[in-house]
Amino acid sequence: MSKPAEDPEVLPGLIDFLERTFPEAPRPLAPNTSLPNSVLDDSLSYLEVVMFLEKEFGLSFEARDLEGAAFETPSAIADLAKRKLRESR
Amino acid sequence: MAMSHPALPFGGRPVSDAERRENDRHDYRVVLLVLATLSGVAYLWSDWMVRLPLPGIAWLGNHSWLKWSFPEGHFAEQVWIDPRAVPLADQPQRLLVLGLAAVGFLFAYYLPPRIKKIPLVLLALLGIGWAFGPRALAALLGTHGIAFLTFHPTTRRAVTVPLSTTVAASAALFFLTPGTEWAKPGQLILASAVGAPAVYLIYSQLYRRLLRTSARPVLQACVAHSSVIYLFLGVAWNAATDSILFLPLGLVLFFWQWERLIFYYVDLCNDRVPRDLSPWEYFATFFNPAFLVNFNWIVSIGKGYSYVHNSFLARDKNRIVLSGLKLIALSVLAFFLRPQILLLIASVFRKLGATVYDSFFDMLTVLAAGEPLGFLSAWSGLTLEFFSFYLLWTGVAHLKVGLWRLFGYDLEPYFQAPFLSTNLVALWRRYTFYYREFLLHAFYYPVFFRFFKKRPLVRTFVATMAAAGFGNFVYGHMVEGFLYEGATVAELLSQLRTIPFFVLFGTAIGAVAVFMQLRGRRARRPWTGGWRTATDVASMLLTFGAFMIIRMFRVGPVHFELGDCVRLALIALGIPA
Repeated sequence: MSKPAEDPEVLPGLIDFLERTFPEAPRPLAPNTSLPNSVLDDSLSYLEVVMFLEKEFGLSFEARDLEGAAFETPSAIADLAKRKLRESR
Repeated sequence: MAMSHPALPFGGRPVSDAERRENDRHDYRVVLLVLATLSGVAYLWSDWMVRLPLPGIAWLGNHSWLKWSFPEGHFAEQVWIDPRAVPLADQPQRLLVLGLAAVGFLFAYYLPPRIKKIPLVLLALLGIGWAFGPRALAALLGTHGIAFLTFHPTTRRAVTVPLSTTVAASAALFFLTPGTEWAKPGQLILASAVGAPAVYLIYSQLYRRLLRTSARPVLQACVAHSSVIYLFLGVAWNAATDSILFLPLGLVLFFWQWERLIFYYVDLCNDRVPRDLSPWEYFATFFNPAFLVNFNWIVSIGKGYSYVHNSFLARDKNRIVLSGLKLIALSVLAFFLRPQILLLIASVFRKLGATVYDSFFDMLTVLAAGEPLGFLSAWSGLTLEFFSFYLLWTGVAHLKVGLWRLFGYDLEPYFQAPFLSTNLVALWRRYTFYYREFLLHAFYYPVFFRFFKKRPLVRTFVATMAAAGFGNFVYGHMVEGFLYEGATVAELLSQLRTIPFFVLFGTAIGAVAVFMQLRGRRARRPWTGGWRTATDVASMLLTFGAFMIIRMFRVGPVHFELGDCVRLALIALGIPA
């Protein structure tokens, strides 16, 4: 598990993960690509992303973290992860 | 099929009022098409088809390759409200639903967005009163009124006064109505006038104060889980007294909404429901004319508040309505093709030399009698039992979701091309979508976000077992069994005999989920052509084969020894038993 002290570059790693994990993902995956119904086609697929972020950045999520547009695009997910990282310090 | 509103799993994407107004454009051609379609469905699903045979219909019946095998003269014998509790015959029930749906569509189409849902609620309540009688309507309305006041304790008199009056009037109607006749208006008004202030005082001085204490979460949980609580109390009562605890029909109707009530409660706990929600929005979550279609089948459609609310006019209204018409057309097709497909499957097995069985029951009867059963015969029964269920439920589910869409709700279909599933996890999603969502929201997510965070494989497996095993058994099938058969010790014992199904089902899905996690998803997307299509077909057949065998354990052990069910499974696997 790696947890850098400074704001880590979440987005590149996340995009790499999404491209590797979901064959539905367009290549290259843009930061503002809408994920629901195109890449994340199943509610369990969101949990795969959660597990990736937990493992890579040592974060902890609750169900309510995934509300609204939090998982709408890779950028939105990266912003959420960064926010949680800042809160955890 | 057009993609519906993006279904974010945790409440959906909010839609603004401005977006809704933008999406609410009228097109008279769509209106005419809907009315023509509903008229056509009414024709095909009633004896009008016999009394007024159109040339094409007669041709289909007499000259088609299809066998005309509809004993009632139309092909929707199993679309109704409820053949056991409703005094109307099946056909008037169907026509009532379609008529209310047509009127509801016109209101929902032409009224301004902020008041579209109101007539849908009123029409559903009218249909419930018409079909089930005034007492049932009163008990259902009163119970939902109490549920609303528990979920949304409020001091707003614009809410509490009318709701207190509604609860009082419901109670008056319930107790003053001896049978199916409506109470005398004078008595009803008098009792309501006396009861309303009493209910208001009890609520404002006692119940609401209680809801401001730490008792609130407990009371809200009790309302959400009321069906389960009642049913286990019923079993205890039955064990103690050997009699069955009486349950008024209206409460049965309320309890049949248990999955959606729990969805609503999950939304409430996750702050997805506005605390000052209007009662109309609450009732609109549960009631529109689509509720009436086979009311106790597939009761999870629509999920809770946030999904229903966020799907309303979430994209262009006419596109939603047209996608609803497609689903209704698929429903008609499913009912029409069902007997043909079953005959076709049976004839294929017969040509292969198998003795054909059309149910688990028939095959297990043979095995229980010590008679032999062949490999192909076993698969004839497993296949026919599956398709008989699937096509019937597809017809009903597509009709229900299709009607929701006519009213402007952009809901996803219940069955989502399940034959594209190449593993059990995918099948779980594509087959009975809303029911799986119920199990995920109520059981999977709570376990996933709380336990085994450092052990991902254990976390996935345990969360899957919590949903597909425990939740599926206790909060899915057990509740349904009790509501159908009564909360008795005998029914409890009968349900306990089906535990092997839930263990097998949960273990199988959990194992596939863990395997996928270990392997990673790096595989290509299935059904994208190329030589690996053969692998996809093989995976699909294996997935369905496994599912057909596993689902036999849901029914078989109720009537037969578990050993007979295991023997049937082994025969289907090609293992001599």
